[in-house]
Amino acid sequence: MTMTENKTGTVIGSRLLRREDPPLLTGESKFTADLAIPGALHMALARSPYAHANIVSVDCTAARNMPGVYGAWSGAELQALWAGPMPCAWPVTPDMKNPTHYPVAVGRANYVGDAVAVVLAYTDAQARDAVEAIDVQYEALPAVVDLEDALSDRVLVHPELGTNRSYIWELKPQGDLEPIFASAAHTVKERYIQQRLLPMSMEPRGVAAVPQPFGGDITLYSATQIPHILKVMAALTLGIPEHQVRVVAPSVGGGFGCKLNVYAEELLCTALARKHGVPVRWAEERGENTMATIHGRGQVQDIELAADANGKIQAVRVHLIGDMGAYLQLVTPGVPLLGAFLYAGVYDVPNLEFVCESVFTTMTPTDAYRGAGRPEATYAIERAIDALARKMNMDPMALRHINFIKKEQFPYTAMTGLTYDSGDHALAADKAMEMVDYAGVRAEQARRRAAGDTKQIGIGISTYFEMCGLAPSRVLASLNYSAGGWEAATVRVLPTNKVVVVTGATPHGQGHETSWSMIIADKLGVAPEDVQVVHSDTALSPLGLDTYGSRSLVVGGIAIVQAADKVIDKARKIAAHQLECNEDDLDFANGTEWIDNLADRVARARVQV
Amino acid sequence: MRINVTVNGSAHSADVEPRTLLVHYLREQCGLTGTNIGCDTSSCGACTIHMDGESVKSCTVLAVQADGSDLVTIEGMAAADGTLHPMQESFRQCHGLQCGYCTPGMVMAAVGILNENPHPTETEVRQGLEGNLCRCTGYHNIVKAVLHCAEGATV
Repeated sequence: MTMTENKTGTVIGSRLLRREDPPLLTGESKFTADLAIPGALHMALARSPYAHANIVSVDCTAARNMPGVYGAWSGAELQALWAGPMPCAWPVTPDMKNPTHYPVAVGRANYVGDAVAVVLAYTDAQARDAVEAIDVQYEALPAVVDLEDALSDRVLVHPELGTNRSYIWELKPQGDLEPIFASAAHTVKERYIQQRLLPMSMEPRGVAAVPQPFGGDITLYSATQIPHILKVMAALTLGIPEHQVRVVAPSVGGGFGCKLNVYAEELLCTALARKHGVPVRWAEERGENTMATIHGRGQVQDIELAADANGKIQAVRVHLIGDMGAYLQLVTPGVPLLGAFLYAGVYDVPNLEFVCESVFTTMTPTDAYRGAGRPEATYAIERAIDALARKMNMDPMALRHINFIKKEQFPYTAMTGLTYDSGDHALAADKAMEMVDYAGVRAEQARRRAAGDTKQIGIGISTYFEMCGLAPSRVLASLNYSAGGWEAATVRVLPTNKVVVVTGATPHGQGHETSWSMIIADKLGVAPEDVQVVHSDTALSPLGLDTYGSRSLVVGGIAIVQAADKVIDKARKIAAHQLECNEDDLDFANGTEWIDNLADRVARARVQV
Repeated sequence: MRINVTVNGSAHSADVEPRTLLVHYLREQCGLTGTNIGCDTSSCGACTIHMDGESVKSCTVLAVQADGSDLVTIEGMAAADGTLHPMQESFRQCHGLQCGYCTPGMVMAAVGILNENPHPTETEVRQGLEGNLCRCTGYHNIVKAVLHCAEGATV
């Protein structure tokens, strides 16, 4: 029996206004471009106007003589800055082709926007004026913008690789499916084009590197989703001891995946700041953002379904061509593969074959963008089911019902080997159909068709099955993802019973500060406003793998819960000592209150949780 | 060229290059970085401020054009005691922001709408905000915030 109402566990689920909002609503928040950095030089880049061209010459003489210019350099003149090429952290196959990629192109430009020269000047306007004065002579080469054309190797994007194919990756758990397709009552074969997308966060990218010329340390401010990963990669590519690099993500104005990367400008600012002993900053223009920030999607999807006479799907066969763009950025090659396990959607499919060939093109590199590979998979299977329904002259929802994994099949082991723990797709679908009055809408559609109404209606249906929350798992290991997927948290209780939470997750609009304070409020029985959440600075939060792939709450949040449990365990020992009772007889209530079950009383220990 | 402007109630006098954009003047010379630059091309509205009581996109106004004007930026909206402007409070109450980058421009544009039309319909709010882009919220809660402010407070 307890003698006090347990106050923990009441904040999550309640409506709490976001603590992030007042500074954002008043202009008080500092985004990277807002930082006041005395003495900073401004960087601007000359970028290739060609998709593919030999760089015959780069003459920076006129630019160096422009007002306010500190220096101007070609890619060749900057080569000594790099300890290694730009990083790709996702070698999806052992023989994946990865062209050497430096922050500034040398010899050949491989996409429109590829940097070819750099200017530092005392103001942003002076730097951009000087870029106009750089004389670059190009010899245009044929562009490669069609994925099948790229696969043909008619024009090699990187001749030194001997092929445009970066890798071929297969998932064939049931082997060759041709016999199933050959004998199936119904088959469909569809081709879908996933066009490229521009991620377009409202805040363009921005970078500022502030060196300590005599101490040796350097602080890199960047509008990034991944300060922790960026710190490691900057250290490796620039040859700086990791402990001398601090990365800070100030307020970040949206990411959508495009700030999950290590970019040329981050490395350039850092290297130039170190070399010249002065802060160097860069603010991306929107025009640059469309060219030099990664693009999303970019796939040709060939999908085939084999079904029996009733429409029950027997097999799904997928062949993708993935558009890598000109280079492999941080996780470029892994993006199409994140969808590999999802091409069967929410359906009970016994056989799957997935093959992805990824190719280089003379376009901006692709990389993670909103869902990254998984919405593409959903699009393909859902469109293909509709195609099968049309072919069988069946209602598309009825066909889906036939194929849903049934409630009684959970936990369900998919043909990929993954286990799905729970679900009731039919119930959810029925509810949705009821809410839109599916039968009524279909009847109205039929009426308008028959009447030749000038306003016709179309009905689209999609289900969605998501694999997210990138964490240490069999799937991530099978995809050879090198960042690991773990998350870190520290919970500290201050002398006045305020709590500090240090998280390795890195928000850029999600509201982590509010959410994390709610977790701690519930765990420790303190008020959410008494919890400070520290993040996005590798000096304050040295461990973490940042925010992307819907992982912050499910991985980072659990780390906080576990850290809070450790605090309670530690306090329990001290409380038991003070109350002269057995640790096992104490239940933590909240704040400083413990319930002594043996004595049937609430005891207040002098130890704070 | 010399310009004289009032910014958030304070008189400012400054020399600017003729090509200086008003947003650069506010951010770099006045140190008012709450006004964000999103697109450089007057497409996104992140840089919206008030010039003589009207919403303008400050990336599309030359600083010299503002000579003699009364300018208000997002920093001038909350009361001196820290009380949020009713529109700011409405955005907070209605969860009208996530990353917050479009928010200063969105708030200034929203106040401009209510100045012209104190009781807009939802359609009028959506049309009034068509020059301001948001990437996080899907606009729904922004529209709700403007309507909430129009109902509940005098702007």
